[in-house]
Amino acid sequence: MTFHQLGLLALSIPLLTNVHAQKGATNGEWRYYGGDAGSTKYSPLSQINASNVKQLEIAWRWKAENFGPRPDYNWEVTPLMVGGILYFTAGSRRDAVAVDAATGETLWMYRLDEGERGDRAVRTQNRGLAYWTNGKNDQRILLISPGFQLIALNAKTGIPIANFGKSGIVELTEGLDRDLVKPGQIGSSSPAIVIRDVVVVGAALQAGSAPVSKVNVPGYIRGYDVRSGKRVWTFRTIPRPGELGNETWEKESWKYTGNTGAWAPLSGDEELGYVYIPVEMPTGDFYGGTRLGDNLFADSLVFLDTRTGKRIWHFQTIHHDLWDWDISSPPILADITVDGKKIKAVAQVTKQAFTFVFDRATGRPVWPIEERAVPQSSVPGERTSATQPFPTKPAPFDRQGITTDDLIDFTPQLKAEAMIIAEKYQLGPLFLPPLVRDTNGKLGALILPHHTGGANWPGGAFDPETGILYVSSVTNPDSLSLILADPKRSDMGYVAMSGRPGGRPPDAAGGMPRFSSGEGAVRPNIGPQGLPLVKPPWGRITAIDLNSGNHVWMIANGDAPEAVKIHPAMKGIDLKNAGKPERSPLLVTKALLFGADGSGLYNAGPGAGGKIFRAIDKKTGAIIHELTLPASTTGVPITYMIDDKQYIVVATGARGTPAELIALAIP
Amino acid sequence: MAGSRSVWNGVYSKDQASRGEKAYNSQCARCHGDALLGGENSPPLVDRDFLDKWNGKSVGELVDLTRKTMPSDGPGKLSRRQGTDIITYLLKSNGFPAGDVELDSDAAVMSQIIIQPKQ
Ligand code: HEC
Repeated sequence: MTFHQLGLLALSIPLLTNVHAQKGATNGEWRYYGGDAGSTKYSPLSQINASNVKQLEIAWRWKAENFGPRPDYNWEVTPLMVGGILYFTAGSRRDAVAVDAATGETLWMYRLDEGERGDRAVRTQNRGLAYWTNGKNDQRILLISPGFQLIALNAKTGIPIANFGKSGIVELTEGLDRDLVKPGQIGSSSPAIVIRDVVVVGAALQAGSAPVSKVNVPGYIRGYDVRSGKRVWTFRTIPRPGELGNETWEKESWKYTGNTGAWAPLSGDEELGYVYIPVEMPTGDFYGGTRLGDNLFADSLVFLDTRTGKRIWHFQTIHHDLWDWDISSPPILADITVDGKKIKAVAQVTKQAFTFVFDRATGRPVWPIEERAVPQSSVPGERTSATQPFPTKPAPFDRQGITTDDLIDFTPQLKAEAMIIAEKYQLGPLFLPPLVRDTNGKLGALILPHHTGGANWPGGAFDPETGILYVSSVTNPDSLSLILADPKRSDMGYVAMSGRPGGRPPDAAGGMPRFSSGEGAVRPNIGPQGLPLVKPPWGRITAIDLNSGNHVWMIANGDAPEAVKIHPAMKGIDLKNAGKPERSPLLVTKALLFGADGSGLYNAGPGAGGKIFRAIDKKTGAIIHELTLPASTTGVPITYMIDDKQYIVVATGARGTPAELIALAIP
Repeated sequence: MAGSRSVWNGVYSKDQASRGEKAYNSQCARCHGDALLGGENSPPLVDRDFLDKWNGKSVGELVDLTRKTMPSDGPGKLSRRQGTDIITYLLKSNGFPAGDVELDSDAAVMSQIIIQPKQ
């Protein structure tokens, strides 16, 4: 090991009077998934800066291809860096790995073969690990396996901690108020977080667009003692009788409804002793007839006391969700000054492109949030909430709702074709509810941002020195179209038609030209000639000043997807600022904002993804440098310092190109 | 087509479909769902919305497309045998009957078996 505590580095960190203030990843390390417990993704390092960033080169590569039974291509990991060692999960089995952060040499790996429960894992994503130390020589790595077990490893050796749970392993499928939890029903796609010696674990379940059943497992939030592995509390995201919010699940739907987990990474505040939980929606992404009512604590930001699991406060961002607008990214802790008043705040960006900002001790909204009347559903058995919350500030960071003015209009011909396609759908404002296919001759309701639009798990990055929040989002409408569920396949009543034939024009199913290249090649757009239906930008980064609530700048996420650029109808059209339809994974340092085209492998727009990694001017959004990586960035980058050298590490991969970690540094 | 069969002729065995189910569950269900009804961005692999597209085509074409393009994030890794097994599970799930013999993964054989509605 060649890591040294750097005196030099310590000098370059501003001396903060309040040691607990949000300040990003300290000491040149990266100890939490989000940099710090507050998920700022900020580092005060500045050795790599505007004057030298053009010299960035690949320092080392670490290949994940042979980890797990099949290669992983879409590695959403963000490593941790502690004491010169990177810790991360890798491969389709989610092995835990320790690597020398200066050289990329593998130091240890931990592999758990879980048999069927691993094979059937509900989520195979790998976002990473949690780290804990007692400040002395007890250092632990916490892994949540694909089959939903919590494992504590000795950070030095990778060997399970014998007196944690049973030989280092804690069963996570217990205590969920269900007699039987079957393999493949519940897991986690994000790491745990450790606050005040309690490991807080969220949950991810099966996608709910067309569930087999309304009867499912609830994704409760649990706290485990980091020393013993003992479960110390459970927070029921679907409350039982006598618990607050139980009445928001009508007709005893609390009894059987599942999901309502927290699949995004979690955040916490050591000083307050709170964890901030971004809760997802309940079972049935687009039909809520089986769970009438507001459905607390679905889609809520919940503050819990880390020691007891007691709810301190909550805010529901969507009542009775019919759009799959889970809270999908870690809450961001932000110390801001609003109208001269210092506020320790928490900011939550969402799929529907809102930024909700609250006082993170009291929950008081920093700017008023209004309940406004929204369109009502025509689906039999459904009952839409009459109102939904709208923050008055900051303004939405992406387009909300869709009218014919939003349609692609590079040429009159394309606009005319887009109008014909749009005619097949119901258009409308934000919160337009899903439609049963063929209602009034419409295929479905066109939703913008839809469930894979807006912001998502890459979330945002926050600069604690300037109070600026950077958030990436995509602008990608899609149709929400329900069909009566065949009772022999599902008891949901209605299920969504998702994927290509789902609510798309019949001719799109077979004959529509589709992208023949690019990472999202398999999915066609619904717009004219296989082009996006709406005007660019299709992907963007927005800078929002959280002190004022005002937007500072917005830039496109690079240029257009390759397949759009080479489309004959695009000849002579300037697509420089069209934006790749994927969320740029963001990292912010004292010197620069870093972003990238993104992976384009999962919930992105067709043709998304690309190899460009970018250094961006924090003040203006100007691109300072573009670097072409061997593949697309699939995870959120980190930065750290060893032996006086700053590194940036990011996970990459692409369709057919197995996952790799790429370390960048100035030679 | 002389000598051609259809999916109604019991073209796969039960055991083969169970093998296919296992492989489907570990490699495909995360996108297409446990009940093959689709999910998030992935289309259903059963019923009208699937069969309308495949009726008139051959089982061989379906196996080829799957092996070439699926799983969509890392295609090209399914063996012919495994791809064939998974497709027999799709056939079973779409209500086409099992027979006594396994579906041969030979391309020439499979291109002769037509997906079609019950005649
Ligand atoms: C990462 C998600 C993902 C995984 C895993 C995946 N698929 Fe797909 N699949 C898709 C998407 C997206 C499409 C739509 C492609 C298009 O529109 O061209 C699709 C389309 C298909 C189709 C064509 C459907 C039609 O209507 O013609 C078949 C068949 C299929 N997949 C089978 C499989 C099988 C079998 C597996 C497992 C070996 C699998 N898929 C794994 C995402 C996935």
